[in-house]
Amino acid sequence: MRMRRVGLTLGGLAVAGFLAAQAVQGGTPLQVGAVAPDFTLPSATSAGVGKPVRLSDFKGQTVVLAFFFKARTGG
Amino acid sequence: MDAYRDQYAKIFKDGKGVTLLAISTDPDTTLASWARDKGYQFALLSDLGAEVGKKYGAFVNTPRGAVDNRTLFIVGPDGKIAHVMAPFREVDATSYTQLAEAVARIAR
Repeated sequence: MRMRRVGLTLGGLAVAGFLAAQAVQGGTPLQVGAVAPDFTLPSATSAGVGKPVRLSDFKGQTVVLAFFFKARTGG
Repeated sequence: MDAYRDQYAKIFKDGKGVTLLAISTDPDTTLASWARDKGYQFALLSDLGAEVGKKYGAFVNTPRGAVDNRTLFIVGPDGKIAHVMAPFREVDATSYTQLAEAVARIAR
């Protein structure tokens, strides 16, 4: 009984640790072969704020999605 | 981001057959003024709350909430992810060479 409780506690700690690590690090990137999730986002160009852009509008073309931290930084 | 602008012809074939979309959690107005100041030839997308970054696993949690992080995906003509660079090392010149090679291989 006691061993079982210890086991459950350790299991709980492992799960909590895993979740904490995920929370700090963020997500795991999608891998090659996965269907790219569709999205619609507000857009901007050097000409100003533009129309919303939808990924599925580019079907049949190649699209590079470059996620970055923040405008006006090196990132 | 300046490297994308400066090597736009080489990496992105001047946008012929390939579209670059740069995505961050900045408001669209911030992205527009930055793009104007820098003369970027490509579109920037405003992913407030990192909602799309979360779908792609391209975000990091900060005390101020989730923000998109430096991750690059090439989506092929079939709508599937054809190449991933995670993290994308933007200060490393070889990143751009590898990216150009991947785009040349994938884009029609």
